[in-house]
Amino acid sequence: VSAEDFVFELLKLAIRIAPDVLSPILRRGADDSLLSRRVLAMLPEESASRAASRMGEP
Amino acid sequence: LGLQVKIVLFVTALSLVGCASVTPREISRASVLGVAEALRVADATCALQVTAAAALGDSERKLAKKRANDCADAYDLSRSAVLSAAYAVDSWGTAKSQRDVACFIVVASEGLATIVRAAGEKIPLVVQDGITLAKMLAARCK
Repeated sequence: VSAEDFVFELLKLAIRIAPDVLSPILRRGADDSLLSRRVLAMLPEESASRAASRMGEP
Repeated sequence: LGLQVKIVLFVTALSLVGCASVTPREISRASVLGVAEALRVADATCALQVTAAAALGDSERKLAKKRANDCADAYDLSRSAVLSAAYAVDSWGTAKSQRDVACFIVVASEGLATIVRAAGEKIPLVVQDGITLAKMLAARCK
């Protein structure tokens, strides 16, 4: 058995034993790998300038 | 040297060569992140200027507000372009992906330059770096 196969089998076993704990973690890891998600988190839809220019308006 | 040591040295040399070569996708990913960070900081710099002007007279406040609106419009344009570039990196695979990313970054940098002009303050280094990065990438948008 190769090391890769061993790790894969171990991972499958871990998911079977604790799916509620591991699945969200794995899913989150996959989501974080998308650059668009990182950019969306960095750049809010409304700019800070727009919010600042609204301040003081009636 | 023993055979095992030679093998280790050979593998180490190979991995070092592998680390040194950067793929176009890695360059694109790093550029998108660099320009996104530059945009975030430029927008925050512009917003700070408006907040500071709140304590001044009416004319200064009006001018700062106009500048803030210019910054916000440019931010909207740049944000869309940076997001499009990020989507292009996420769906990397075609030969034109690299060109697409470069062209989106060029559009984003135009908005970034507008914000810098409108903010009129000392430009933070991260913003300067973002603009330089975008200029470097512009050659690939042909």
